[in-house]
Amino acid sequence: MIYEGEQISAALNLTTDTVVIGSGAGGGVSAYHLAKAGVKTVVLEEGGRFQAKDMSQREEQMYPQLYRAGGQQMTSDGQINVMQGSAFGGSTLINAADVTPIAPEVLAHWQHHHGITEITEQALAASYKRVRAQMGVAPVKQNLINNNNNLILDAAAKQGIKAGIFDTNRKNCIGSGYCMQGCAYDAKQGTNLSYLPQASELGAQIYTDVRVDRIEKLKNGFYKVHGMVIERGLRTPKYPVEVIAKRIILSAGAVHSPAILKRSGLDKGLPQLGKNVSLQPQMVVGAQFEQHQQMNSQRGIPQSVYLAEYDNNTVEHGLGGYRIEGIGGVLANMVTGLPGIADQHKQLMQAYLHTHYSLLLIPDQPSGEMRWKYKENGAVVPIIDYKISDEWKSRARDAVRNISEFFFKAGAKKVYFSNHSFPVLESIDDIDKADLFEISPGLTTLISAHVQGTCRMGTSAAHSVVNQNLKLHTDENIYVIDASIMPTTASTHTMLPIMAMADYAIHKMLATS
Amino acid sequence: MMNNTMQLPESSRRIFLQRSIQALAVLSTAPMIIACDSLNQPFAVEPVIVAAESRSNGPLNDIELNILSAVTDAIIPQNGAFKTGASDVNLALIINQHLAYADQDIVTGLQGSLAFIEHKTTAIFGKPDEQFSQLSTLVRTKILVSMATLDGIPVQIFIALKTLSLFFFYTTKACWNDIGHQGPLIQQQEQKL
Ligand SMILES: Cc1cc2nc3c(=O)[nH]c(=O)nc-3n(C[C@H](O)[C@H](O)[C@H](O)COP(=O)(O)OP(=O)(O)OC[C@H]3O[C@@H](n4cnc5c(N)ncnc54)[C@H](O)[C@@H]3O)c2cc1C
Ligand code: SF4
Repeated sequence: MIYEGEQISAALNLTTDTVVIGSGAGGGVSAYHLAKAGVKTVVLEEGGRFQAKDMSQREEQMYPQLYRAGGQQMTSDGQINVMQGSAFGGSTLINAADVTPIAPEVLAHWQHHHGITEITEQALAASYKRVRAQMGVAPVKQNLINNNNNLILDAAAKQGIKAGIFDTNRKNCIGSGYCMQGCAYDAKQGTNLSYLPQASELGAQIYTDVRVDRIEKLKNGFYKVHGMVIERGLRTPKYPVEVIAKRIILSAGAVHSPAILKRSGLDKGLPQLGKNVSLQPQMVVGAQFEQHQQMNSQRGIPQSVYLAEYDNNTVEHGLGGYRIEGIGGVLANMVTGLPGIADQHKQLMQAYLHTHYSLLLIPDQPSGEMRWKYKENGAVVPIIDYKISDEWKSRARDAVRNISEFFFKAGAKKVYFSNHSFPVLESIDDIDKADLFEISPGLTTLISAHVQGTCRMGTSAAHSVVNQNLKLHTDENIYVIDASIMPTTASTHTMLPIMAMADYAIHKMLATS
Repeated sequence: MMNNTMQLPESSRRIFLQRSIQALAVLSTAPMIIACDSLNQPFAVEPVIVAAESRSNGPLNDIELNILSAVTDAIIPQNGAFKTGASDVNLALIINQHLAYADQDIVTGLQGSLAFIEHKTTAIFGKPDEQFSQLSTLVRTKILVSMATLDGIPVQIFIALKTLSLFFFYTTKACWNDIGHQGPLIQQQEQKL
């Protein structure tokens, strides 16, 4: 059964075998396989349940409902917008549905630098297969690649450089362009469609609008999960919730899973909790073309093509380099960071239909740390301290130069970035200005869709939070199964890596318990 | 509040401003949070143009609204590359409507930054006896552009107000027509049926 908060009119007391906290990439997959194995499972999800009929395709309405902090969770210096979904399906409800596995160099990096010897291509193979089948993963169909994305493919082919088409978890997509505001057509196969309803049919009890606050360890070895039914929208608490369980799966995402552990006093003996945050920051690139070269980025699949020429993944540092990926369907959110105001701004926007938009994605090394404060009503206020490294800044300048050159060679008349102080580049002769590209709070608008780390996997409590079974080093029956566990950024897109790890970890747990 | 602060001694005015500025960290991330807080209120799909008498819907008073209009109008003036400007869609009123359900520190941050813009920026740019809202659109735009080149508080205020203005402007149909944005597909499909 799926129970929504508004159906609950009194305090809730439940007893179960396993509680899954969060219903996104990690939680959805975990709940399904637990239920399939006959394990009595309760899922508690803080966000609401929104279905195709609820998606208005209006940014000012959908971000507040589907995203954590209305889509405006920021790093503490105000520089990076850390985006996360917070709803039935978690971030898989609002993501761009690009499907990429953990890069082989990353697995090798984890092995050599973090002692992760069990998570190998071979160990994950069956999990990848199951996840891909369950979500209907296939390459994006040619007819759904819009001009905005095709431009990257065509220009890369002409310039003899590497580009590719994403695999995706969409079925019967009509290319509306509104993926990041929730799919109004049930085409995007997030866990809200591909795992949670199936888990419910197999007996899992799923509660939405229930925020978990802390986990209490009982003397008999069981756990009591304390939470609140909350009002949708403002998320004010309504009724208390208590669930007694033998096992806990924390899948509240990389910001909130460690927050729950910390608040429960379960951080003792885990000095790495909340540390090693990777954000994989991205910025918007605009490339204006001649008027007849219509890009119309608002329709079609927003993100279907990537430029891979500058990927630089190595065993030494894992994911590296940088890439661009087409983007569209987020007009109001995207324009806020573009350069200029008044007529300078209007001139850029008048060319909206013949401007190509991409996101420039630059993988990072873990360089952040989290703390949490709590509001009077119990809500968590995360403080995400993240320092952009000089190495990242230098790669960003390299990227600004090479990506600008790529677009000018493709025929662009202007190229610009989401940087309030960097000038609009008017020709290929301007690309040396990349050396002056300033990256500082306020001036550069960066976004992160891939927050990871905070409960990293490893071999000892001194250096990590969970072991290779994704179990806390310090507790026999608490698992963390979400983006938190990645020792370094897993891939350019994190959904499939998390889901495959969830599938792997639950199967291993079931096999041994 | 605006008038009050003008009568405060310089030292307490600084404290007031400092407090407001702190809230600007929140303000710079405000547009969607404001929309979020307005969720449990009836929310028209296309923001309603509010009549002058119903300005009390939002927390800003007439003087503050006037300054906000002067700012939004300077960020997105009428005409130029395309016709619609902030004043055509009553952007200041749309923002004020959303603010009705915002956290108090966001409102305080906005009020503080409006006070700063109205009374301080003119001095920085050599017009100490004038108020921002009384200047021509062109001069107001120039002042805002210059704020972006300064460090610290002015740039924070500039970016916060730019973000707020552009986000809500590009949620209005009037500007979509100008730039060729078609808007939600579901509405077009519903209209066809
Ligand atoms: C805009 C955007 C676009 C993206 N695009 C892609 C893409 O194209 N491809 C890709 O691979 N990845 C993409 N990602 C990233 C990917 O979706 C996430 O990395 C992944 O979903 C994270 O999985 P998770 O299980 O860690 O957390 P989530 O999927 O975020 O789920 C966590 C859930 O836990 C809930 N929760 C949090 N705290 C509590 C609590 N206290 N009590 C109860 N519930 C709680 C949250 O409400 C949320 O629903 C995107 C992300 C974003 C934000
Ligand atoms: S582009 Fe496809 S998956 Fe995205 S919202 Fe539209 S129909 Fe859904």
